Amino acid sequence: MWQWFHKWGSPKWFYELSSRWLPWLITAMVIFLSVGVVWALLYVPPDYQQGYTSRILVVHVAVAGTSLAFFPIMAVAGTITLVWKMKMADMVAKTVAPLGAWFSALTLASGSIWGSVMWGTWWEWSDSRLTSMLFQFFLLISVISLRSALNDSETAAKACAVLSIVGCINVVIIKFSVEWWNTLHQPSSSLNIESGAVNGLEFWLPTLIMIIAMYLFVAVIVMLSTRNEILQREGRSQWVQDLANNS
Amino acid sequence: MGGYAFNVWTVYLLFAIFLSVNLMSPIRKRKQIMRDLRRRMAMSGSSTGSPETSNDLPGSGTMGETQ
Repeated sequence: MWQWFHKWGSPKWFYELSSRWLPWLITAMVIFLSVGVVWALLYVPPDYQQGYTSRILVVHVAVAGTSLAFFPIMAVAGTITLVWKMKMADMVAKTVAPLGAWFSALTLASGSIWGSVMWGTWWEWSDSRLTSMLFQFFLLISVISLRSALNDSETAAKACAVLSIVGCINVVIIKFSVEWWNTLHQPSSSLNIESGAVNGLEFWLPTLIMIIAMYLFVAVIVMLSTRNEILQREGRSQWVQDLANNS
Repeated sequence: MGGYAFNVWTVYLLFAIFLSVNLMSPIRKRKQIMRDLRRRMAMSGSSTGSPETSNDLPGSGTMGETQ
């Protein structure tokens, strides 16, 4: 089993494996994205309270839920970097951070646009979930800046690993904020098969499809970006030079 | 969209921008990396490279570039 684990440490092995997986992942991503978006824009019925703004929530819920996965991913990659000094883990940690910032930003933007209609405000500082999500965005920018400030060295890898682990505390706060504090953002809706409400299946099915689409999207982008990182760092090896000559 | 067309379409437009920028960025970066690699190999005139390097973390002298 350790042998399998240490295989992942080989950039060349990861590159070859990802070359085989990418076509499938991209196909699945395109299918889920198209089905999700078309379903959301054409078929989600108006909510009895929210009208058609429930269609915003299909994107917002999927993107927001996925954005919570970034710090845990970075923390796991960071721990592997700290403990086993695996270069591959650090590469993944490096490429995941900017994508996480995008996800957090889109969560805030889509939520804000929805809130401008339903809450009558674009922002609310006293709300726990909004401010902790904004904080997550700033934390991700910090991780990116920290790596750049330390010139992407071994120290940078360790520092970013530690910051990523610490950042997971904020993820817990984001997740439970709506239960711990009763401010503006509503608590999680329980899956309720009544039709006509945002709790109904007509809303949750396309949302589930969009969530799967978002996870596939993350997998594709992280794979593509990590492959680039491998090509840069391994530029002196024969197999990369052969690739460059043949492409 | 029941009067909320602006809001719904704005979110989906932002979503489309988010998807396309994040998809195009690694694809373009890869082309740039390959171009730079080929140029560097042509300049150094050699086609022999080292075998696959070790799995340790890079030191400060590696090619790791900041984003």
